[in-house]
This record gives sequence, structure tokens and C-alpha cells, in this order.
Amino acid sequence: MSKRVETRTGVSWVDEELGLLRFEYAQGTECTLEDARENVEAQVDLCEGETLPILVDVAGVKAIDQAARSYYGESKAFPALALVGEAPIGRIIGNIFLAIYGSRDTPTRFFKSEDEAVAWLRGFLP
Amino acid sequence: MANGRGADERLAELTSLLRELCAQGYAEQGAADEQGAADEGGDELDAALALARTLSERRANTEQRLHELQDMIVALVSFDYLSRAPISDANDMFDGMAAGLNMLAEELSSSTVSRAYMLEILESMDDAVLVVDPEGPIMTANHAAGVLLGAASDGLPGQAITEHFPGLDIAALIAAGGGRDLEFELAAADPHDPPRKVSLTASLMGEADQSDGLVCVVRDISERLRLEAERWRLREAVQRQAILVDELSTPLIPITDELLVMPLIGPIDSQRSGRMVEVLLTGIAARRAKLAILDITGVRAIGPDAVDGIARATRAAALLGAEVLLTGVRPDVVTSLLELDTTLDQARAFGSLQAGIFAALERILARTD
Repeated sequence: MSKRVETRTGVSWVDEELGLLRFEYAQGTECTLEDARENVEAQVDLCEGETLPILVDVAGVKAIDQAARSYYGESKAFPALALVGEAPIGRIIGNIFLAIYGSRDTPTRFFKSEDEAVAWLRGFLP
Repeated sequence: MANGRGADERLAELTSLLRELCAQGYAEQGAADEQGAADEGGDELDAALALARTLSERRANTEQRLHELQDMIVALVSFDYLSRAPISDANDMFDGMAAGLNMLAEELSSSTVSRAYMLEILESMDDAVLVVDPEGPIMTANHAAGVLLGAASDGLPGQAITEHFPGLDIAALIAAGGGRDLEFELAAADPHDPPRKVSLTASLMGEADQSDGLVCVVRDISERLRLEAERWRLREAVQRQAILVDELSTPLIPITDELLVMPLIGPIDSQRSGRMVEVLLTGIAARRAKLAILDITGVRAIGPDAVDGIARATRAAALLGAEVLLTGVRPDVVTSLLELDTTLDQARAFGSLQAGIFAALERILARTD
């Protein structure tokens, strides 16, 4: 069973079957810069030196503040980032994140379904 | 009876319609509401009433949420980037829109500087700031610009910059990428006052080939120029004083064509010692003098620099065919000379200037005879 790391705002784990790093926001969570740093640190540790693309489920998140968004947007920890979330808040967060940081060096996309996201991320597997 | 249908039949249809309305977008909640009505053990009429109440509550809630979003939009339009729309736990469309507006406010707050903030900076500056269109008209002027140019700052926009700064070539400045410390003279508000000198620095807005104009910062430099002139005048006065003191420190008095006297007063350092030798030799050469008296009556203490100067003057005078007499040699001076292990052998010494002049004149007269 793959190792899971829980932080204040969600849970991260390596999906060994798909070869991806995953992060799922806890329901109703509000993410700050400190949380974002904690999450990325935990996720990098989980990769144990590998650079894995990451799938982030934003369905449960209630807010990600500007400093946290900016930190995520400037992070080069992962070769690709797929955001998934069908709920209205997650959708707006994903789309706004994409509008502001979508053209950065790290390929970033927002998907409504997890299957689409996984299919896209497969292109960035090591 | 309307439509020929019974009350039960119409009630059933009403309940069905209400159920349908409640279920739209609230499938789970609609079922719960219906279940709630059933739990209360009510009949069809109670169920319809419960559903109608639910719809009414939802409508009130919707209006409330729309008001909150409206307030947030108004805040954004008013450049209030600190307001936030409330987000409920329902994670519905209203929450999505509220989250979006909140994020917009955060992004604007972190990346936008308000016009009011910029104006506050401009207005607080002591220097005049004028933003000039590439064609020449003033676009923006701060309060200090109005004061400097003797006009209301809100009256300056639209005026040609050259009305106030004749000869200012905007096109040339844009082509050159701006200009620094260009000096102009502005007439004083009071015709009795002298004109004011100002310095203008122009910075380019945008690129030279697509410039949005120039930002001109104008500073009144009248006071600075006055202080500089005053400093220059003081420096010249100090220099003149220094020359005067220098000359007074080594005066050369011709007694006859052949006899010169240099009375020395005060301490003699190496600089003054050098000057003494220079002035003495120049005087001897110019007058072809045969005798020169160095009077040290006014020198309280004789140090190595003074001894060195006297010795050099004596030797150098001899090379020009002149003899140096040393007068005013007091007993304490002799003691000093002994302490310095020197006797100034080449210079004949006299206790007083009077004795020295007398001896010198005797020598001259003897030579004439």
C-alpha cells in the first residue's frame, strides 16, 4: 500500500498503479501560503527523488488564498499539474488558476473528470 | 369547479409541480423536504404547504446570496479590494461565483495600484511633475507644478508645455530617450522679484518609437544656485586671504638697492621656510642685492624647519653673490641652535635689527668708497 501523507488541508499519496502523485483537498478547507508550502514539501518527499506529475482534486476546497495560489503557480516541483473538480468552487478556482498561471513553464490544465486528467498526465510520466 | 376537476386532483397536480420545482438543482434537499412533510404525517395539502415553504425559503436565500454578490461587485468597481463575498458550505453556484469574485479581488489587490494612490504620491511631491503628451500638451500636473508655474494645477492640462518652457523640444527629447538637468528661467510671480532658475529632467514613457509622452520633473534651483554662488564667493575670499597671509608671512623690504630686509614674525614651519627661501632669492636676483637681512626678532621659537630655511637661504644667496645677515638673535635662540646642534656658520648674526642694518650699511658704504 502506498504511503499517504495528511496535512491540514488534505491528503497526498503516490498512485503506484497510475504512476502519478495525487493530492485531494479536504472538504471545506481554506488553504493559505503556509498550507501550500506544507503540501508541496510533503509531496516532494513522497516522490523520493523522482519527478512525478501531480493530479490535484480541488472539489472539496473552499478557498485558496492569493499567496498560496502564487506559491503553487511558481512552484517547479512537478513536471505537470492537472486540476480536477466538478463542484462550483473547485471549478472557479481551477479556471482562475489556469487563467493566471496557465502559461507558466509547468504545463497546467483543468479537467472536469478524473479520467481525462489521468490521460493527459500520462504524457508526462518519466 | 375549475376545469371540471376535483380538489384532490388539483391538489395532487400542485404538489407534483412543487416537488418538481424543489427538486431543480436540489435533488437531495427536495427529497429530504418531501420526507420531512411525510414524517409530519400530513396529507397532500400539508405536503404542498411544506414544499411551498421550502421554495419560499430558497427564494429568500437566493435573493440574499445575490445581494452579497452584488455588494462584492460594487466593492470591486469602487476599488475596494479588501471586501470578500461570504462562501457557504453548500458549494453551490453562488459559492463558486463568490469564490471567483474573492479571487479577483485578491489578484487585483496584489497587482493593481489605484489611481487614488498614484495621485496621492504625485500630490505629495515637492517637485513639480508634468506629464506631457508627445504632441506637446500637458496631460497631468501636480500641485507643486501649479505653484511653480503660478497656475491652478487643474488648469494646466491641455496647455502647451512650451508656453511655460520656451524652446523645450518634445520630439527631440523623445528621440533622445529623455533629458537631464535642462535649465530654464521662469518669471517670478512678483515682477519685482528676480526670475527663478529651474532644472527640468524628462523621462520617456514607453519606447521612443511608440512613446506615450514624457514625465517631466521640474525643480526650482534658484536657492541652490544662490548657495553655490555664495560658497564660491567665500572660497575665493578664503583663497585671497591665504595669498595675503602667505605674502605677509615673508615680506621683503628693500632698504637700498643693495640691501633687503625680511622681518619674520611667528612660527616657521617647512612650508613657510620654503616660501622664505623662494621670496628672498627672487628679491636678491631682481634687485641684484648684495646683502639680505633675515630678522627673527618676532620668532619666538626656532625649530628645525626654521634652521633649515635659514641655512638654505644663506647658501643659496651666496650662490647669487649675496650675503645673509641674521638679526634679532636672542640668547634663547642661541640655546635652541645649540640644542639642534647647528650654529648657522655662514650667516653673520646680530642681536638686533638695528645693529644688523647698521653693519650692512657700513659694508655697503665701504664698498662704495
